[in-house]
Amino acid sequence: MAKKEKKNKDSKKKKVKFSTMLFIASLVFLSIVLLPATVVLVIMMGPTFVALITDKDPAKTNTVTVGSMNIAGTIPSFVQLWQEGPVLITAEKIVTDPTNLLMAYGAAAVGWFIHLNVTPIVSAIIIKKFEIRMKKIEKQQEVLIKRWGKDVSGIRS
Amino acid sequence: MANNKNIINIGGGIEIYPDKMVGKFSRPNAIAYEASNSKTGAKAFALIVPNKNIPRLSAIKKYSAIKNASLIALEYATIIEWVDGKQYFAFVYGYPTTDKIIPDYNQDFSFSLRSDKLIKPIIEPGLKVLEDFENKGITHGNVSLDNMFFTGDRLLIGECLSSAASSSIPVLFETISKSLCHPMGRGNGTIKDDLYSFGVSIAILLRGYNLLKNRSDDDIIQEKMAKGTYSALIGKERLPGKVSEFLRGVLNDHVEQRWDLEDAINWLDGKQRSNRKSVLTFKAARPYIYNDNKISYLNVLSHEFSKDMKLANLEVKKDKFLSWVDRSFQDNKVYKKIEKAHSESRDLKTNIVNTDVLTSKTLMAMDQNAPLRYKNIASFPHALGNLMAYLLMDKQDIRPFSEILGHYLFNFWLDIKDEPNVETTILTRGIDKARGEITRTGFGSGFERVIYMLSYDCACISPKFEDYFVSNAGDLLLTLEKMASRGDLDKRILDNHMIAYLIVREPKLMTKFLKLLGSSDDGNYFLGLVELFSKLQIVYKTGPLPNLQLIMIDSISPITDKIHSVELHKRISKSIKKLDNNGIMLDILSIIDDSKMIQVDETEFSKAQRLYANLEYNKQVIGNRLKGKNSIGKVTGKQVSMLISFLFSIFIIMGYFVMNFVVEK
Repeated sequence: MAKKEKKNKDSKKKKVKFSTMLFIASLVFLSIVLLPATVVLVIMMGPTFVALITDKDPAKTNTVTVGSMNIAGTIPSFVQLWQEGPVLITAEKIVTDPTNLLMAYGAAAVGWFIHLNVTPIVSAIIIKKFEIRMKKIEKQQEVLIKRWGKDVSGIRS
Repeated sequence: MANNKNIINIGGGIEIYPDKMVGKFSRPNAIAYEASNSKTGAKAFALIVPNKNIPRLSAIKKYSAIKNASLIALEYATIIEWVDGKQYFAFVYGYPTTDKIIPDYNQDFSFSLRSDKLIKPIIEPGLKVLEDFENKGITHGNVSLDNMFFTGDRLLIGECLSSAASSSIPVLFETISKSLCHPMGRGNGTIKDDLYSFGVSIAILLRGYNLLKNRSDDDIIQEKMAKGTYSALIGKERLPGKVSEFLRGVLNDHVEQRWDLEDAINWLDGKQRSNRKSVLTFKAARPYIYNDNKISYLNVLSHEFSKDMKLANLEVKKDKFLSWVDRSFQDNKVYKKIEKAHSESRDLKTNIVNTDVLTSKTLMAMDQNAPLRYKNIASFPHALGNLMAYLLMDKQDIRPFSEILGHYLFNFWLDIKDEPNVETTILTRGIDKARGEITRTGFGSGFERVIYMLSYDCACISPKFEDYFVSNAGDLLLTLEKMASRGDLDKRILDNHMIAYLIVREPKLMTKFLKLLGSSDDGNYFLGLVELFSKLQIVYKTGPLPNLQLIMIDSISPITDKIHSVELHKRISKSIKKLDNNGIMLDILSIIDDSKMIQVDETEFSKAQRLYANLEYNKQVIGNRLKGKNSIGKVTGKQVSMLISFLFSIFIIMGYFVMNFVVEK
């Protein structure tokens, strides 16, 4: 029985490995087939890859925040690649154009800005909300004590 | 009642003069003082009863109803506050315009009337007085030469209410069986006992000399036992036939043969008297030697035994004694009774003979007319309550009473009688109840309750009432009021004596409040107290009790503490303040005894407590969250950032495509 279970686990491991391998192989294949696009993507989406590496949150919210804006800044470069022909020379021209780089990296910077500023604001709002609720509870308790005396709290006066 | 040191007003226009003692009217247990009725101007005397005494409270009404010129008239009876600041019971009687019939029966005296001349002015009025007592269903219990007055043509019999019946009669005037008792254990007795005492008084007057003068009580008893009362008093003197017949009748030592009042009245009227069954006294052929005395009569021997019960404990077990009883008396009834005493003195569990019980039962078997004697107690069963109360007040050991009841000695006392007395049924019931009660330890139970159950005349003898006299529940309330005014009340106002007294004297009223009063919860106890006092105040019409009310208001906290609502609490306090110390207990009750109000308060308070606990929980949860202020809202903040960024990027992408493709076209 134990042997059987071990076998199943091993086959699962093998399956996971296989699918990953397949995905990587497909990705490698696609990146070779679409090499100009891959070059643009890798260079333009650099900030997103950095965010992915530095983001310790399992939900990867920071990556999504930076990535969303980074994609918005990279879209014009892709459109240009598509319009001028998806070849390596065009890709090289695009990635070396500072305007394109500024757009992609600037958008990513906006993403970072959003991440760094919105989170504390939301946190402060939530804290304030809790504090208001706390005061409300204390006021309700005061009313009860005023009406019933300290005994209502379970402490004999 | 405006009192000063020289005059005490007691109501009914009667004034007592504490500095004018009247020795000739004083009784062994009560001192007489001059008094007068300010309304009529008539002279009177007041008998002040010390609190250790037990006056015959239950006989006052009947005594007052007797209208006989040969009996000292009772004018007033009440509790008074004496010059020493203590309360006593006082009886005020009309002042006899004469002296005692003879100054001292233990001294030589001269009395003008002799033989048959005594009948009209002395015997006839005396018998009429006793007849009046019998008609009222009570006995006098205090007939003696010490308590008789003579106006020159008519006898005047003194009072009998200032002490328990028979308790203050000298042994000389008492029947042999009653002489064997503790004075408080003699009991009310019967009219035959009064006739006997009257007979002794007449015998001494007739004889013109007291043959037993200055003899000890024990000598008198022994003389009477040896010779018979008539011979002991008259000696060899030959009395005129008619008076001699009367004396032989009323002084007969066999209670069955002794004249009753009907016989005496018939004798007075010259009518024939009923025939009585003759009773023989068996004399042993060979005397029994006990303590170097040769004794031939069982009643004499039983009396000798009773003088030292420890010695008797050894004697009654001796074969010598048993075989003497067996051989000496042809009638073997006594021997059978003693055998019964032996068989019924064994402990059912251990089968060991209880020697004290055996001696007590043996003495009963030897002399069935004698009182119940056990250890140091000698009493007739119907006087057990009075004796118990007296000994308790005298700080003596009352534990033997518990044993008397526990060992069913009273039942044996009844069993060994040749002719059972049918009148003892009520007493038997009372004794049975007392047996169950005396060992109980509950609130208002125990020996305290037994005393009041068995003694109808006993006032409340709580140690707290040492300086007071409490003769009914109304007095108890008024005494508590007085104690409250002096600051003498404890927190738990009623002690076991008072509760027991109220349970016995006011059973219907007390059953309502007993549960509350017995509660260990101060609030319930207090509520019970207020309810009881309110009821007593109404029933006994005591008038306002401001000091007691003040004490109650001061101790109201256990009740008001039970009220949780602050507002209600304030309202109640305000209502109590509004009472303005009016002394009406019911007013306190109307404020605090609203069960619906208390119930609503309790329910609402429980709800409020639950709500408070929920709020406290929420407070803690929020508090815990706020403790980690640095991390609070970060997840949400990141999610919001992500959402904003995502939407913004969509907006940018859409804007780009619109600008480059839609607008160009």
